Amino acid sequence: MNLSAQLFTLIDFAPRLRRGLRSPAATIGASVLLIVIIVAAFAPWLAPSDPLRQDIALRLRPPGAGHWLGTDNLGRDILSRLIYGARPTLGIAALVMAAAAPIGLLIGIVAGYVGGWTERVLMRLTDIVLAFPQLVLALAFAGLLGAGTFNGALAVALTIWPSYARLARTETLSIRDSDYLAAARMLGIRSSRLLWGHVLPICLPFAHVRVALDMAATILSLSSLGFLGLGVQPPTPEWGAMVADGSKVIFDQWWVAAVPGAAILIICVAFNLLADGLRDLGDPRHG
Amino acid sequence: MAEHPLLHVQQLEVRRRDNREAPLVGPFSFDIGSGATGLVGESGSGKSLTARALLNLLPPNLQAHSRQMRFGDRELSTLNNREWQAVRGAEIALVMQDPRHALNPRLTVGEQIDEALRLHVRMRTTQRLDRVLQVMDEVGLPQSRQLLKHYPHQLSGGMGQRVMLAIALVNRPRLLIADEPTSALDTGLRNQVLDLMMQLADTHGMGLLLISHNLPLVARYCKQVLVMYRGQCVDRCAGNALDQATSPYTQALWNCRPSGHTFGHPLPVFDPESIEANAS
Amino acid sequence: MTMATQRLSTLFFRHAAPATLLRIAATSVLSLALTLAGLLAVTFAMSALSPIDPALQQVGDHASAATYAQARHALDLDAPLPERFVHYLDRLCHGDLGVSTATGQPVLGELREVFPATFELSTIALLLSAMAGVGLALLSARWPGSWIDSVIRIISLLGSSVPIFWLGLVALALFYAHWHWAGGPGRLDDAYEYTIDMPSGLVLVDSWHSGMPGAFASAVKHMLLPVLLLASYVLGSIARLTRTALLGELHQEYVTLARAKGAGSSWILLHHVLPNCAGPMLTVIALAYTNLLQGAVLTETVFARPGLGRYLTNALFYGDVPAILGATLVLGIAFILINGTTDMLVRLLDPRQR
Repeated sequence: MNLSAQLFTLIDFAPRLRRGLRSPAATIGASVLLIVIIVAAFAPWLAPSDPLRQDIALRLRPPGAGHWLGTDNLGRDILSRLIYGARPTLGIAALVMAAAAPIGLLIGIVAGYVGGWTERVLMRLTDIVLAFPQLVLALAFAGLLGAGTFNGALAVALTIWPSYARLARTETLSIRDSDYLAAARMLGIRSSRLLWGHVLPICLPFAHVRVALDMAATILSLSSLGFLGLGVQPPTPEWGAMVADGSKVIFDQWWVAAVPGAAILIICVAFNLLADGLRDLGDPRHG
Repeated sequence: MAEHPLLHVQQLEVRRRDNREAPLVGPFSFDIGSGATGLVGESGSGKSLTARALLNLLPPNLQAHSRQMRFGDRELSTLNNREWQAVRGAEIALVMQDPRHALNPRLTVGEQIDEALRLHVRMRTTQRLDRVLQVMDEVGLPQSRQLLKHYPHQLSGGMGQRVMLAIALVNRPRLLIADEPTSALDTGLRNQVLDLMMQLADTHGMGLLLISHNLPLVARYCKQVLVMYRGQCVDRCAGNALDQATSPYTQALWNCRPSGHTFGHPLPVFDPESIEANAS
Repeated sequence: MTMATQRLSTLFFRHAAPATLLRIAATSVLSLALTLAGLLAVTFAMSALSPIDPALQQVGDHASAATYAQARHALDLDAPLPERFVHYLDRLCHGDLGVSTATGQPVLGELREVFPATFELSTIALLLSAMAGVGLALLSARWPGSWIDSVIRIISLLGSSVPIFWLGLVALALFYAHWHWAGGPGRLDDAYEYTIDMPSGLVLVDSWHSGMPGAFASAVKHMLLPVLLLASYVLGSIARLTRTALLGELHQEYVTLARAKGAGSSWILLHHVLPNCAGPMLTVIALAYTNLLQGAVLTETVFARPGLGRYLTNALFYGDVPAILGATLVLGIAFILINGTTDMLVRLLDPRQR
């Protein structure tokens, strides 16, 4: 199987989409995500005002005409900040996944395929990282190495790869001794091609579900970092940090914290629904 | 069978609950008297479903219906769940195929035999223990308190099957349904266990429904044999008359049995169409 | 049900032989030690890579080069990395976690003061959520396909989607500020906070023994929201995973045999399926416990409850390196102990592994 053929099967979208529409969970999740992505992409056109423009005279306005979701303690328009805030929330989480998932898959596939000592060492390492308090380590990492977008994202990425390694190893083991790999090997296909062309596609359907689940978990971790001031730095709008801004006035101007937190909740529900739907659609071998 | 049969079943059928398809089993009628009754047929012929229907133990998506199911002087087809629970294990008991799966891995032999007793009678712990040891002795298990504390994974296949038999017999049921009780055992043990079951059925005057795909075995042990094919009862005859059966399916089944004589030769293949024509 | 209580455990239960117990314990301890070594390496690496300079924090910007060098030497910052790691381990073995740069107190003593509060909070939340979660799972396995399934699904969906720090704020705004149903931030009303001795560090215990009328009630009132919050955070995952385990076990053949013995559905669930799910359930509950400890970090911060979590977030705020490392280490060790104990219990509970 050459690369283009394999990519073609991967993005063989139409039938998958049709099946996907049959799962209401996946449909709702995907629709919400689509809306959020569009909002994030077209933020400059959609936001009613500049998310950074402060106006002390207008601080802590309740939701109403002019400022649909009210203003925060610096008089910034919350709706605009919410719209712009979708960018780091989605973007950084996506980057984290793009960094962590392939590394985890690679480690797992190599461990499962090579076996022996390599497997033992790699999987022991994976287990060790899995046994760590991931959020706490991410907090400590960001706190010690300096708060900021990059360190926060790196900290979360470092704790996420092991689940992919576990998953990829299990799947690789299940087919390592299969006849179809033996056949491919007999045709003289090199190991690296074998891993890329035959083993990886087996892991991907499971990885889809995992990515959707982890997107929710990652967004929660990143927003926790933001809430504690360790993530995206002000004045850039970020949902977790916006909740922190609102926490000081939670008893009187509840909407300042309630709105961005609800946004986090909604997007995480969407990712989890998508994951549920993808899992129900199941892996191609049974579906 | 002049006397009143132990179990009299009229027009038993098993259907899917959604009820769109034809019945999976039946409708057919049969009697089970004292002594052994054999139920034979190939895999998927509905033997096990029939057995489960007699215990009202079908999976939730299936439903059994019969015009009459008289057990002794009781009508079973109208029982509710609670009444069925009192019948199951106490009056009609089941022995399953593979003790490795059918015994609970986390409970000891003693606990599992005792449970069957505890569910049906109120007795003191010491009395129950006596009864458990007694039934273990009956089924040929060493009558030791040590064995009581063994877990299923510590037993051999033959011992496991005897434990299952002990579970079934501890309440002295009037009917024992044995669903492929020996197919997980090797040949020597197979005969031992079957001989034991026959002998116990005899001493206690217990009816026995033996489900098997092993025809010579059934021919040897059973007074009466019912032959099932695709959910229908296509033939019934005496056990010792199986080799002279007139029904083409029974003949075909009998001829397909592998043995020393057929070694190296292809087994005969039967033609489903002729059987179906005959059955309907 | 009276018969159910008459278990013949003394007659029928066989205890594990001491030798196998020892073997299981040894493998568990070895795996724990490896994980601990990994944790130590990670915390040390983070401190070594950190741009925060504790020596500079100590002596200030205006110190002379000599004072600064002296401070670096005192803090063991001038040695090569491998040597520093050995020194780090050596100091840990002697219970020396360094001195907090924010308070000037030894970190170990401070941790000892704050840890009980976090332990109390997360353990109470765990007990609550485990009971409710397993109960829900049993109900849904007893009546499969009923509305209980949907309840479990929704709780678990929300539990894995809600930012807990935000939920805490919302709960405070509604139940404390708006409806006055629960206590506000802190662990006690102000009247008691500064008058009660805290010898054990467990606020429920200490307020009970304080002899002050109303102190215990105040502690309960203040604990209500954070405990319910944390419990609801893991309830969904406990219920969902336990339900999956129970339903999987219901397909086993021994369940059919138990039904053939005349056992009813509830009996089978409680006597056969539940004990056979003990392993997966323990794992699920241990996972929930570790999640609760992490959730407690944010919850304590939101509710301004003194505890390990708030200690850590304060240390993060002040860039207090020894305190950050100490708190991380304690939480990491708690994780390792929870995972290790569970692992061992699961293996001990399975008769096939003895």
